[in-house]
Amino acid sequence: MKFLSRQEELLLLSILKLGDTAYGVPIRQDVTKVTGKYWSIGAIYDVLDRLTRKGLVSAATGMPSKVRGGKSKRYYRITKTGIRALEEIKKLQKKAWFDISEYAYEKK
Amino acid sequence: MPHKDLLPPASASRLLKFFANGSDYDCAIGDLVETYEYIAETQGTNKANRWFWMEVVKSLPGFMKNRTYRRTAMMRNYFKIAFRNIIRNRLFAVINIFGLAVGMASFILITLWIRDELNYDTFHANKDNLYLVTVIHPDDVMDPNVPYALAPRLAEEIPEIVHYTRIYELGNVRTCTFKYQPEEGPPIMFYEDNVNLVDASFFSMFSFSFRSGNPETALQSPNSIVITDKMATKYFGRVDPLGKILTFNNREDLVVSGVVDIPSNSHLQMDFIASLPDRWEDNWNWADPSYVLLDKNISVVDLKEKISGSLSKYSPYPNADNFKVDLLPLTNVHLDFGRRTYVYIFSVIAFFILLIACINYMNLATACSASRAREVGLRKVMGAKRPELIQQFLGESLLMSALALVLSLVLVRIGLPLINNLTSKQLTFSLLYSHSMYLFLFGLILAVGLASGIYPAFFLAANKPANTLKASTYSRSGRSSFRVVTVVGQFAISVLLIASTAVVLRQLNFIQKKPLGFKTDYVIKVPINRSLLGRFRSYKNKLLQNPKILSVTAGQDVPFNEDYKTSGVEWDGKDPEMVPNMRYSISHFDYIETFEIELVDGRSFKRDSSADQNNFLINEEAARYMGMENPVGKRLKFWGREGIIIGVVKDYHHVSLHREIMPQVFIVNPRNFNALKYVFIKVASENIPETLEYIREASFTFAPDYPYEYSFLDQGIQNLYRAEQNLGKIFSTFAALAIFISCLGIFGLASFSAERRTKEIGVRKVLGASISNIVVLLSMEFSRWVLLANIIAWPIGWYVMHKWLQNFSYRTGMSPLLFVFAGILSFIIAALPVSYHAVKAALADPVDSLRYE
Repeated sequence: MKFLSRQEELLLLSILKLGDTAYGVPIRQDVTKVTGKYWSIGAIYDVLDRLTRKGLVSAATGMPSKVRGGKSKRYYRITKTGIRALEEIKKLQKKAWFDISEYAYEKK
Repeated sequence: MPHKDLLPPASASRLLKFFANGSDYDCAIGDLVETYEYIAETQGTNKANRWFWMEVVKSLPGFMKNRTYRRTAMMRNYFKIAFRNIIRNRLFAVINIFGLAVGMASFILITLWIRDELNYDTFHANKDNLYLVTVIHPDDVMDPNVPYALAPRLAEEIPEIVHYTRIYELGNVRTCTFKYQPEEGPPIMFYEDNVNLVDASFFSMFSFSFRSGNPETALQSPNSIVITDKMATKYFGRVDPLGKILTFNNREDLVVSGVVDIPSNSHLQMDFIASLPDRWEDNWNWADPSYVLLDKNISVVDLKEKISGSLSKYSPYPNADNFKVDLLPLTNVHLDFGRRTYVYIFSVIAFFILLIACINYMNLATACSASRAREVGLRKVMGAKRPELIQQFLGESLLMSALALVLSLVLVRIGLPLINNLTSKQLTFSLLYSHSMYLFLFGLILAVGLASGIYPAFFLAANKPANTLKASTYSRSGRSSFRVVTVVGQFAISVLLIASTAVVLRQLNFIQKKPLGFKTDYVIKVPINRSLLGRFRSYKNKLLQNPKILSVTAGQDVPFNEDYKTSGVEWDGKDPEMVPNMRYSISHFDYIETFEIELVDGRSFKRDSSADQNNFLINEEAARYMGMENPVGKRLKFWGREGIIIGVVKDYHHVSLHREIMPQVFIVNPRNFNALKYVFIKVASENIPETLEYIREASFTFAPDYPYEYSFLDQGIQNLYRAEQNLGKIFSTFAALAIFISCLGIFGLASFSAERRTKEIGVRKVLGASISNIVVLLSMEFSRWVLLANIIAWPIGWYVMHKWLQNFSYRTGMSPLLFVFAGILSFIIAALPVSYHAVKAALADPVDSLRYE
């Protein structure tokens, strides 16, 4: 299996964190806060679509409300595959950094 | 709490909606709106609006990426299927693409030609204010030649006319020679036809670009001359011609004051341009083209009304009342004098050829529908919707159309020299390298792709999955009426083109074979000059000393294109009110004999007899025109000089067969001999090179200071009908192309139809049908269609060609045989591919055809 990209990882973590309230606006807010960078809505949905296609998250469309110009919210929830993918990337991260000592780091 | 005011900018929303269409993005838009509302409430709508716009612009790339990804996923599949289909049905694909390519190539070539025709004279800066002054004859014929005195008179009267120029086509009425004496070596001299005198304002009206010299002053002095680029090279080679002396007719020294570049899309084509002497201001007798430059801000309609009666106002001639003066925009001149019909004809042909090619595509695509039906069924089962399928098939036809365009550009490249040859134009491939042409080519792909794909797309997409997937040998045999209509239409067009070509060729043949009433075989034409004319009698005697030279004479022009008209004829019993309109022919003695023009009454002029100087010959038409039963011996007054009619010649065609024979008077008065332009020499058919050499030497002995040129007359006759000959060639070419494309279509259909009936043929053979039975069976279907096509095409063809033949005063009848011929030809053309397949199918072993189940 291919590893998660950093963007996918960040979004998955956000969705995990937000739990039941994970839809576009809060996800974007969270990712913006964590990274300190600007994320456009298009960029967010691009990644969300990819995650959905890969089956890492499942999406459910809520009832349309008047507040949002009559558009419904789409809630995302992480799937088991998604969790596995996150664990895998975490493990990989650890493994990859394992041999890098503080000393080697400073020498540069 | 949100209120109504808090709506994001409408245009931004629309943009977003366009790019982020589809239910997937609804929530994304919702997200944006939600945030927008939050910002609007906390920080004000202005800021929110700005924010929203920024967001939309920044999100678009993301949305688009996603959207194209989704599209291309399916697109890849469509492409794959399209290519697989092309490879599986190699024959059909090749027929389709090739047919479309030939059609497109013809279309592109004709478009280039038409564009060139329509672009005539558009390069002039004043093109919208330049007009040709014309005279409308009582019979509504537009005459570009107006009396010399008219334009100056109009300019005097009407201040809206800024400039005027007349063009005296000197080369048409006088022999012109130019001589350049380089510092060393022999003089360079030639006869020239295209010598024109114009008013000094000529170059301020027309924007011809000067290679050297100043257009403003080039024609100011009376002895200056402007020459074209080509002439500069002809006379001066690499020497700079500016300021050099050209001697005109060995009399006048003219200074070259400019070298001008006259583009090929100018209807005014001149080699030499000099200024017109002032003394022409009052000349109402001679007529040549005149142009006026009008003020930008005036109404042309009013002006036209103002000047329409001016001929009767100014002209000293009593019959001027019948003529109206009119103005023709410069950019219409080229088209209005003969070319418009051709532009129409070729537009129609181009359209037809493209249509035939598109029909081919439609036919083959629907014919193949059986093999695609299962694919459609499967796609539908897998959830494809009808619009998606239509998109797929349209995309496929667009792909075909794009492939065909690439091929057609190659064909255009190959075809251009041929077209240039036929139309004597200089079209180049680089004409296609412009934005408008890119757009045109792109539009062509779209138009051809959509036109040929739309029917098959709907037809195929309409397949019902249940039907297509149910039976193992699915074929839809019923709905073929559309195919019949298209094949019939296609063949009708082909028959139309064949019949038209046949009529054009027949008329051409008729023109070339029709006895003109005189003989030009072995007659050569030598331009006359002052030296030859001054000693014509001795020159003639010198020539006649050679036994191979049979006859010598001189005339105004060649006998088949002698178009000099006059009203200065009087005879006894003429109605004094009547203004005669007769042709006259000034010639030297022996003219009638040299051209073997037949005499029906009286005698010809006695050679060199001064007694006959004042006498006349007339043609039969003139006798009728003047109402003379026995004209010989009657008195006639020509240009004020009285004489006797001594003979009547049989009517002959003194102009091209487009026009009728007119009453004509022949004169041999030495006082008019300065109008003579050519010596005509009839030589024996043996040892022509030697005779020609003898004539050359004799001419140089008598006129050492003049150039010598000769040509045979037969060629000149051909030139009269060049337009028709080219039309004939182009017609045959495009008719052949159209037929070729139809053939491709019929070939494809026949092979398909034979394939589809493989099993039927197998069964029939098993049951004892003979090969010929089967061939007949398969051919019958096509024969019916072709017959129907003929029945449709005949009346249309008859009508159109009847119209075209009206252009000729003397024309061949339209025999029904021509149409029968076209019909038979179309049958043969249809039968070849059909019977090929029929025979192939009939010969196939039934075991093979029945085994495949």
